Amino acid sequence: MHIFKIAFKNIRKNLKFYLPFLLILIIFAFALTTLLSLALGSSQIYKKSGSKELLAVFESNRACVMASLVPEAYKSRIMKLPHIEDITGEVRHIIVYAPKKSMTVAGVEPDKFRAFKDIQIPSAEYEAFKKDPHGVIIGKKVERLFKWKVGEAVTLQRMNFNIRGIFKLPLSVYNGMIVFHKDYLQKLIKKEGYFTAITIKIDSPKNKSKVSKAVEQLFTDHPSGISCKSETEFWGMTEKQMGDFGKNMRVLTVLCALVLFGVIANGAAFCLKRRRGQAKIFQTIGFTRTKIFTIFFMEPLLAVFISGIGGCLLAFFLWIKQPTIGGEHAIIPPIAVTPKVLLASLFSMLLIAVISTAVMAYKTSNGIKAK
Amino acid sequence: MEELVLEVRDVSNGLLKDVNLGVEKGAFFIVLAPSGSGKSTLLEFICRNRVIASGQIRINGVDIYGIRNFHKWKAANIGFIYEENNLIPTLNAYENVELPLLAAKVPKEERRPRVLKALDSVGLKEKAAVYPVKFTMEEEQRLALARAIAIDPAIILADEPTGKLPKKQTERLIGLMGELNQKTGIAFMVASHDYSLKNAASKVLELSQ
Repeated sequence: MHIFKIAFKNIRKNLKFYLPFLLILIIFAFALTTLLSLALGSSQIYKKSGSKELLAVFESNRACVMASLVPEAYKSRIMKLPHIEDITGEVRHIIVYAPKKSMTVAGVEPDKFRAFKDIQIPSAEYEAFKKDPHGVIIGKKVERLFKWKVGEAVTLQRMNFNIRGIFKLPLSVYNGMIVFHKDYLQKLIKKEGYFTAITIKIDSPKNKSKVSKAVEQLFTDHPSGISCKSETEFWGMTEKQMGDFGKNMRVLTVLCALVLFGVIANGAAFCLKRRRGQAKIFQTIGFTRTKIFTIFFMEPLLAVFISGIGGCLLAFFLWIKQPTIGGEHAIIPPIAVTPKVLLASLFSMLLIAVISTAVMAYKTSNGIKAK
Repeated sequence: MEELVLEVRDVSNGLLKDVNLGVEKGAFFIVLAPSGSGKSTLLEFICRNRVIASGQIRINGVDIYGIRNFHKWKAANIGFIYEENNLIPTLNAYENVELPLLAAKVPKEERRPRVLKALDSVGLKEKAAVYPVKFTMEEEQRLALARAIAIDPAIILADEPTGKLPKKQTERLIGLMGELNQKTGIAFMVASHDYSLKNAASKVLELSQ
């Protein structure tokens, strides 16, 4: 407790030296929190968009999964295989709704979609969607972006449709999608008779590889081959093909952490250099070298902790009114600073601080080594 | 023969060869020598900031190189005053005096009266909340003296405590040290190159270069 008090008083009394250091750290904490929220959010959103229990059937060897073409007729052939409980098909398409702004739209089988995706939507709205062939349901993110209302007739990129409902599917790319009837979307994009992927529900997860193999063998005659993987893997491939936003964010986060390491190490060295003389006084008074090390170690650590909290809170309050759709693609996650992200950011900062300041504090306390 | 608080026997290391001396309880002992003759080194040996190559140093009959938890022991038994920069600038006078008591793990309820008494004995009780930056050089040395006596040590080691002070202030500080030595019975060992301090001591050791 006394050590903490001494370290805290040192920061307070040397505020003019610490202030630039603290401000820089706040900026880094803010950047780290933002990057982490994007990196974690992105991987979460793709992971949660697909289910490990569902299998996706799509065309292999396509540069982009979105360009996969699976004939509708395959559905009935797959259905005849053992261990299949249910099956549905989905067609996907990317539309550019504004310069450099694009989003994914999906065409689904309305009778099946709700059984496969656990969407939150009032039943009346879903029923209205089922009844209207030109009707669509939109994810919460889309509603926030375009401010569309239920019942509104909309034209977007020469596509005419009626908003029949607004659904929520937390932590999913579907939240940023417009969901059509598959027949209507197929017609609009001129892909009649084709799905982008077929989704299979199997009776038990232990039959996953058996079913995958059977499906792939069933379509060996397909010119480019057919793949059957878990939906999670399928969305993982989609993430990669959409520019691997999550990976890029992870790389940027690591780079930010490395620069932060240098900033903290140099800042700590600058602040502790001025205090070498004090180490001798502490030693003469009777403080053990461990205690002296702890005082010098606590000081930058405390500074990092204070500014870390500052930066995290800044990120939290700045992004609380986050843009509904982040980046160029609708499926890129919004910046959502969750408590998990805040904790991860603060923990990473402290970890970096511990590693980078330990050496400096050791050197300062060791400046008094007995000769 | 009077009881010795400090015994230095055949201590050698670098500059110093076979140093032998004894300081009696309650003595005011001054080591006089020109600069660079090893006075400070000797004091550093006594508080184990430096390690001796050979010989033995005893305080109150205890071989200090044989003490395991020396830091805690030192905090309770040895007071130390440097020529300058004795204080932690970010702590106020009260907190500076309290430091060795914290190191010696003196209970909280005992610390406050001891710190105030020490500050009072050097005439700085009113300035308990003042930070060292606002003190004169003489006041800084008095505060260092208060910090040293607060722990009620066996001996106070002072390394050129008046080195940066003008003559008048030197006399005042040495006078205060002598007064506290009489009042408390704590032994003082002062190392200085100022031969005018000779008369203030009860015992003088002159080292040659």
